[in-house]
Amino acid sequence: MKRLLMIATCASMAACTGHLPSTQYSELDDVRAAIQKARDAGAEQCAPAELAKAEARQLHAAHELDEGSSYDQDAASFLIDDGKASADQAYAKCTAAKPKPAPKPKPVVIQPKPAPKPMVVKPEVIALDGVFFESNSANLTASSTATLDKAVEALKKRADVKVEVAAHTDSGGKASYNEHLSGLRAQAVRGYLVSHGIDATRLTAKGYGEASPIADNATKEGRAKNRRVELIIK
Amino acid sequence: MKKLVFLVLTLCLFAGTASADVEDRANAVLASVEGNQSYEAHFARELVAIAEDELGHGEASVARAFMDAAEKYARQAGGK
Repeated sequence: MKRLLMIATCASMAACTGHLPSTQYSELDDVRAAIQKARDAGAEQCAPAELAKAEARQLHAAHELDEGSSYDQDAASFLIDDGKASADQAYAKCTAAKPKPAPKPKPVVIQPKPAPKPMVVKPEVIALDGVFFESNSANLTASSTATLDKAVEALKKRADVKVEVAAHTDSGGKASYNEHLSGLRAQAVRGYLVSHGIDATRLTAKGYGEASPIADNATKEGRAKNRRVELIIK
Repeated sequence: MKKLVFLVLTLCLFAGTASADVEDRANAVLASVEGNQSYEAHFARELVAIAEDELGHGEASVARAFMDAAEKYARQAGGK
């Protein structure tokens, strides 16, 4: 009898060194999967309380399954359901907390800038009003010198520019003659400018004849306007 | 007969000591993770609850096992 009691005592003492139950019951498959799903969603960080509860319920259920009685089976079922609910809650919390990836920005289409239109720089044209010639001649009238002297002063101030002296006629007479005459007149003006101190290399002369009218050649006034000398700044 | 009584008393005393032991350890664990919101701290608290539950059902050995695990996780949680 004594021996029996000693054995019972030792058995009781040994029973006190318990260990956690194994969770490898098939009944735990659902809760195990739910826990894994929550873990994969990062529940240890985003839903630690819910995940811990689910894990604990799983462990507790495993213990009840270890016990094996019908009462323990019922307890295990309750714990399994509760654990799965907690795991699902953890998963839902984590997936809801994760910010949706920002929509991809629409590709930026960079439209090539339209090629700049070639800049058309109109040459600066200075009309030498008051410059006249004797009829059918390239001889400057005396009154023309006042205008030409002003031109000389202007060109001296703008020593960096080159100038074309352009002479025009009206449409009276032959075009070839008019072109020849306008050429002579342009040369006459150029000669005056050079003789008054303008560098000859800065000056060119060209007769355009009747080709570039600025007024109606049908009227006297128009023809007077078309007979002209201009300085074209290059 | 005296020896038999002694052994029974010893067993009862041992059971009582086990209960007090688990409760003390439970309090210690709960105090160490108080305010800690980490997974390990939460899990330690859950294990303590199971241990106390099992202790209430007279499962001292099971309670100890869960308490061991609770202490382990409380240590991992790093206290407060």
